Amino acid sequence: MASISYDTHGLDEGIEAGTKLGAILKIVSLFAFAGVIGVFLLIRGVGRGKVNQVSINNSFGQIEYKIPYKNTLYENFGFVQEPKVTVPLKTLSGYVDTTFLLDSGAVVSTLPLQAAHDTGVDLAKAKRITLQGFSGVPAFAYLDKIVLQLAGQEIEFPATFTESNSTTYILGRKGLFDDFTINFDHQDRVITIKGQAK
Amino acid sequence: MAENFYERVNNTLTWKRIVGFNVILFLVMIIPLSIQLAQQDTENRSGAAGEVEAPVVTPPPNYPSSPPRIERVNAFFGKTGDTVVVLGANFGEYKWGSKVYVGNVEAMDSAIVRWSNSVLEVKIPDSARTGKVWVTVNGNRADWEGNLLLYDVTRSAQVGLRKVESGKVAVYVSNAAGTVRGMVELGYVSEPLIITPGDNVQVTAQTAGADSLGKKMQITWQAGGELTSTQTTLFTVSYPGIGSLELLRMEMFSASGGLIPVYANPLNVKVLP
Repeated sequence: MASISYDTHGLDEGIEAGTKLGAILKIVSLFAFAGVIGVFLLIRGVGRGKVNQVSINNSFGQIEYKIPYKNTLYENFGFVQEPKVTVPLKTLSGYVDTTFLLDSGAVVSTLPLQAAHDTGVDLAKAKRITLQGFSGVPAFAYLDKIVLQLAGQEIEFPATFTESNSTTYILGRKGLFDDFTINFDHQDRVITIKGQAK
Repeated sequence: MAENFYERVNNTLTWKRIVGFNVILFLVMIIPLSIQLAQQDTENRSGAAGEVEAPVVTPPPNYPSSPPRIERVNAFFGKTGDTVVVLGANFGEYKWGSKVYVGNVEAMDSAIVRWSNSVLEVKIPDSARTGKVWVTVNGNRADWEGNLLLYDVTRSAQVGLRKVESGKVAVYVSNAAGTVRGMVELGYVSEPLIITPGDNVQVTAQTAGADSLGKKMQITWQAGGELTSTQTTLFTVSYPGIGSLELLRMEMFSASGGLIPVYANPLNVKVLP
């Protein structure tokens, strides 16, 4: 009696397992494409909204920060690789991811006027300098400091704030190119910032 | 119950339906996904900046035939070491033997950032004090009508523009204790400007003018008594709202006629439409 009962139960379970497996396979298949896209986006980091790859050697305080190049399509020049880096900028409301153009031709980092407001810089106390504009009329800029979080480290850079809200966020040489080794690798389309954390 | 569910799934989801659903999902997602990926890697821009600096060669003196003229000094306030821009005409393409005085003191060559026929950029010398700005070119002198105000944030009055609503801006001062009268010069684009005095303030004169950089209006005012250190609205300016309104110059005086040091936060000197 017990063995008959066991055999019947085993047969039922066999059928049930096949049905279950088929149903699960079909449900998984139903969302297979969405799953593939999800994995693809996860690998590219789209979901996280960050393009930076960071590695830190904590043993020696060495910072290594890798940033992929970004393509810019210029009307007259076609595609140009643009060295842009997204780093957290210290503001009054905490760190805010900010995209800077890494500009080895710029003496000092430059930010628009709104950034002075956001970072709490008192422009009345900052030193006033001039920047040359294309119109020939010089524009004022105010020299102060900004704090960036580079590979987890809080680093202070000298920076100027322009009187316009439409200027680009630029990371210039002073403070960055002085203290860090920056490698523009156009073949691998990656910029590497290396340096010693202070 | 569980057996019914699995069987129902098996019966409802045919392979044809699964493939069809994925194809539709693909078609729906591919366009926004492509746009997002393209935008992540690519940016469109219409122009690029490039400038080649020529070596500096100073030719022999060749002064302008007309006397120099100063139209504006930007900004009207500053600290020692800050740069001011003197705008005008007939300064000469090069400095040669010309001189510029900022805050009653001659600016040395090291303090002159740029010299051109219409624009001078000069750092305020260490020994400068609140006072005049003038230029001498080939023996001809040009004076700026205003005073360059040297300030200290802790002890100086502050002036600024505040947008009340579209087409209406308030001119205010704070920390201006002891002030009894003054003058404000505004640069503007659209007119008319309608000035409405604030409480206990009387507008005594309005003088319209213009220079090569645009229109300007000089507004002279008198307070009913000495201003206190709290923020005071001197007057409001109503205008058609086209173009910007900019604070070009400000002078305030105490009852004894002394010039009150004033500065403005760069965030509050211009109101955009």
